[in-house]
Amino acid sequence: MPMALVLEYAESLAALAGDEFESEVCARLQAAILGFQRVPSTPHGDAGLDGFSHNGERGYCCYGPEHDAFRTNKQRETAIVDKLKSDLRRLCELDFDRRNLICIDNAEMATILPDGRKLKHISLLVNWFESHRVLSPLFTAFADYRSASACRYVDEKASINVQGPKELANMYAVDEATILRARQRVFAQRVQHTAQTVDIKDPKDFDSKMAVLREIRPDQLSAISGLAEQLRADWRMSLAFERELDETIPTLHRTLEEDRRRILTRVSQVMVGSRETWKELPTASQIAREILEPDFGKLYGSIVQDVGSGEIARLIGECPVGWERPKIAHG
Amino acid sequence: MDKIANPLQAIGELLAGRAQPVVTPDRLAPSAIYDLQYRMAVTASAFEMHAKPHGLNQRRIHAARLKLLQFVACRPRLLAVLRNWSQAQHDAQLSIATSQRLRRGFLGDQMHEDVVAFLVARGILAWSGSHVATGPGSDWLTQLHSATVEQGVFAIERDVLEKLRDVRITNAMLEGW
Repeated sequence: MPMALVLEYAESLAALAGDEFESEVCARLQAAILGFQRVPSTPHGDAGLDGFSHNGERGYCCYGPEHDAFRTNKQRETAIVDKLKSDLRRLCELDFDRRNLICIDNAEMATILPDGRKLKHISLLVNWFESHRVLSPLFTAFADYRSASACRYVDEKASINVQGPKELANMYAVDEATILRARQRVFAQRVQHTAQTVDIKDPKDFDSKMAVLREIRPDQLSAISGLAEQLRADWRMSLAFERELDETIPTLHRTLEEDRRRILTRVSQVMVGSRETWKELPTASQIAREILEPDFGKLYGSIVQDVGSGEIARLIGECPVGWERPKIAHG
Repeated sequence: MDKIANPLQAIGELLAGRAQPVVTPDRLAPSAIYDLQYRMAVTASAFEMHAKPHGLNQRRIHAARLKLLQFVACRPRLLAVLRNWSQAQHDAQLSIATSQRLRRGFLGDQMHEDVVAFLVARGILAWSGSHVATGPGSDWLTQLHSATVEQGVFAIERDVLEKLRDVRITNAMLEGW
């Protein structure tokens, strides 16, 4: 049902934050507006403009604050107003000297907008727009900025509007490709978020292997500690990926389970069959990636590499791959 | 801390020539989600604890309700999600927003379909329109549930099923959108 797709897309946009929100908004505008141009933040920042269209007459500023960054809606409103006002000041080439607006040079703007073009309308795109209290401060400030600005890049009659997830979802048609893209972004973000909190149930085998490693290489304690931390992080990523698939896409979870079995078999074959086993260890994560890539690469490309490393960390943690001190021959 | 590009390579270099490799491929436990015995036990408990009397001596439960109950029972973290979804029923938009992931999850649970098909083929359950009802061999289901209670296994799953008695699951939640 189209209505459900629009709602789901709005919900997905609201769930995204930071660069992921900006990337999704730009992807959507790129698909809907002929001539939409995203503005990369390299080499010296985006000058306050995340994208423009209509040959430089319409500008777009995105802000997707992290969801747990604020305790109250009031704090969220303030953060949104402050950030967007700061973007507008940069576009108007203004800054504060104590409490007075002064003109400054925003040199990067000359390298972004076409020569002689000025922004006539600026859309302020946010991942949370559940309060009208952001409107008056932004519109009032923009009127002040226009008056104080030399208006080199913003037209003196320019307008602004604020759009949240619902407005962005309703503005253009939501098709299956859009939904799929949004689901992938939300999924990836959720996996990364879950990975920070997921518990490794029984890490004692892993810990004992690291203890053996410390005994073998007492000269490398600091490096071993860093490696153990990295492997635990990768392992948590793998567990988070599994949990997300299990709870939301069981059919793909089954594929993951089959891939895991194949990873274990291939890694075991390589390790057992080699005369220099430890030289093969680095190829284990490559094997995992090669197996996961065909099933998950297209959908979750950005996290498959970490999940691949995490799968090998899991093999070390859950016992199949390990090490022990060399046995001393007696007699 | 900066991310180490290939931690396994670093470990390999630390271990080279100083440790014996130990490879035990049989040590990795497969996910219980695909364990037929486990899934039958959870399905048996879900049926025994939530099915309603029907006709003279049958009991039955809406097939989608059984599917949702056992899905959440196997994933206790989702109990709170289901509660939120249930409480958001008065608000159509909020309801869709809170339920998307859970709906996608439980509707895609093919393993449960396979378990029910197996139990129906064995005469333990029987299809009754959109419901699954007790079949001629349903005593086995009761015995399986009782055995899990007596032996104290799958207590977390049964605890979730118990708590689900207080969660209102409407037909609208089960019938999709």
